[in-house]
Amino acid sequence: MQRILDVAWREFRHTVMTKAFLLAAVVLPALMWGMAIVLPLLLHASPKPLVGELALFDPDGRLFEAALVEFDSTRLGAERDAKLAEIQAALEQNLPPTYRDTLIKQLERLREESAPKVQLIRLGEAEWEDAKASVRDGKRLALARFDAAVLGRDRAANRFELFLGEDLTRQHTEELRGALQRAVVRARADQAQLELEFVRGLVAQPSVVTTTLTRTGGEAAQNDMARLFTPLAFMVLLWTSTMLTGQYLLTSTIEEKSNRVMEVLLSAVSPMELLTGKILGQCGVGLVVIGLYGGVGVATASNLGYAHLVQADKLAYLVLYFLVAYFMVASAMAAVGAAVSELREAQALMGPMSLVFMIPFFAWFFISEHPNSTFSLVLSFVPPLTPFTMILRLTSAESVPLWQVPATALVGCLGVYASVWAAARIFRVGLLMTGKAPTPRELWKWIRAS
Amino acid sequence: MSSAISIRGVGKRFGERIAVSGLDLEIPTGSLTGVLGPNGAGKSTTIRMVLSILLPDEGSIEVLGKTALDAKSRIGYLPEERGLYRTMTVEEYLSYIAKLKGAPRVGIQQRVKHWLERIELPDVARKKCQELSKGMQQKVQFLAAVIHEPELLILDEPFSGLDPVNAVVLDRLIRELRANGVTILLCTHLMHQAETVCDRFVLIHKGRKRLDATLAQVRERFDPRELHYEPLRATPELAPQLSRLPGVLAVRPSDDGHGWRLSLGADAAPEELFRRLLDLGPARALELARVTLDHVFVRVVREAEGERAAQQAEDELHAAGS
Repeated sequence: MQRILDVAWREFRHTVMTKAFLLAAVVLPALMWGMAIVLPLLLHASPKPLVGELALFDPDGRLFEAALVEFDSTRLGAERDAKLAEIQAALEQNLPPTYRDTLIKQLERLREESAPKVQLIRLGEAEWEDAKASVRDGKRLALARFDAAVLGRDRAANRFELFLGEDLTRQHTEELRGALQRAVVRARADQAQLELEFVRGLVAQPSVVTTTLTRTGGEAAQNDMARLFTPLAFMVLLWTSTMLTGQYLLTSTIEEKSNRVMEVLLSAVSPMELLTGKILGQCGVGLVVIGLYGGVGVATASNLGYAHLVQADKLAYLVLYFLVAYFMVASAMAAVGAAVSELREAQALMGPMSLVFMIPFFAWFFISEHPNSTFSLVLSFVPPLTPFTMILRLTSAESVPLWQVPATALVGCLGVYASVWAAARIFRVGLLMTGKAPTPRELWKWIRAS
Repeated sequence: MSSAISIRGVGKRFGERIAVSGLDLEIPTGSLTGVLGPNGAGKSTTIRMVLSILLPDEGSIEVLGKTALDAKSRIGYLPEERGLYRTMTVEEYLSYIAKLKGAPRVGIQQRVKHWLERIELPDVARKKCQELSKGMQQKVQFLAAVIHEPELLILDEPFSGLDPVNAVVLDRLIRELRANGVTILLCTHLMHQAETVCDRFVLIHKGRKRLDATLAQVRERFDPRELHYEPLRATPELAPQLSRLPGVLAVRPSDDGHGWRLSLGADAAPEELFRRLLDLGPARALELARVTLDHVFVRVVREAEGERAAQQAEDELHAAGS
């Protein structure tokens, strides 16, 4: 046992204490974590106010009048102040935390916004072409052309034309478009002798503040995108840590063969002791990878208010299914590493295996959206795919029957047993083999012959 | 004398190919045995079975009074194809191997330091293996075989690639280990090296043992019964005179053309012949020929294989010598 631990410790130490590992498993997550915090700050920018001239062609002037109201900076300023006061008053009340967060974000946004300073000019038909030229030259912001029919009830005529200069930003375009749309509605309300604010109050749909009641008794803001991508994030973490460590095991075995240190090792330990030690050592590496990447994930989720999506039970499932996935992949990688002399030869043997392990990537969306479908259930009981399918299902929104966890874990363990059994036979025969890499058929012969 | 290794009726196949067949071998404790044989003779397979790296298909192997597997930590092994972990330091590598070989964990650094000094590499402990010269790496590889102070040491081509200075250091260490009672198995193609170091020889060919004898037994069995005579001044009538000497069966010129080689019969008395030859006149050289391992190797292989294999063995000898 002591020898196995010695081999495991060497394997662990000489993988973890390398520049490549530090870069892949420490620096990268640290950068990702840093980006998750720094990026929003970097991307934050105070919007510039919309300033300039807007020319309108309006046959009877009613739309021009309505637009004047919409772009009236005094009115806009007063409206903004009223909204600010309203939010501040709401914040002094006892509100659900998630709704409070939403209001605070609105408040911050309002404070940063400045009212547009747009001067409106009404055009005659004769001035139209000159006005277009002034927009092209950047002397004016835009040019709008209304038809009197836009105020009628004919849906086919419910439109107007807006001509923009090339330099106008998306945000300013939206502001212009929105203000002119509102101006049309205002003009229609005037035409119908209705009070616009009254009508707006009638048709305004209430906003919905969605809160998730977590199993742990807490409350958290609902985010459908976060819920959708959480299973994928878990599966990618499982897949990455398994494949990364499996790859380390493959390369270290090939290295020991190619630099001829293998025979010295085998004079001291049995092939099974060597295989076990190497697998255990890299398992430690995998757990470090999971700890680092998972830690970054948990920290980021907490930072963004989605801590409920990475609860302890899900992390426990991650570790459980990592062990199942890792022992299956690692034993296969060790066997391939023992059978070949170069990484290039290993890639040829790994091809079919890699395709199998890509299936969860192709099916992640369906499995996480339909975790209790027949397809998902069947895939959960196919050993190479068991861990990846189960982690997708267990981290999705829909509950999975609890009995399936021990049942799939048992199936996974049987898969591990079969994989290690076959790998041990290939490992013993392949370790001292040199020359041409074996074909899959020859590997099968080795398994049967040993 | 007890046996360090007892191999009885051992056979090993790899698919259709027979690597070792019906091998019986006893290696006495404390001996330094040279294991000889052409490439592919079955030497490495036999050694791997002694180390329990491979398991025999038939027969039994006992090592140091135990099964091969149980004796593993008491054996030191320097394989022919050997390497190091390139990025490990010398100290890390030797400590690692020593631990795997079951050396006491307490004082392992002192053990490494002691052996590095013994092999004249005192300042490389902290260096990475890849920073060492080839000769230094070979010395470290040798240390990996002896760091746990084994009772049985198996060295496969230990001198291959070593410069004469390092070869002398290694030779001295091997002799010291042997003097301390370590049983040593030395596989080599360098016959002259084996001849000067080993006290017994085993020759394996085609998976079977063809020779198992002490140096004295080899010399007696393969005595060429030949005498080399080179007179100071040669005369034309000298050859007939030599043919008439008692016990001389045939006379032929030496390979270098400076003298004669006299084939002796079973009844020839070398002392009497030496006296008579000196009576013929002063001699530049007068020597009773002694068998070399090179010749024994070639002869045994020739006997076993026929002329074609012998030619191959000669080629291998020349290649190893050059």
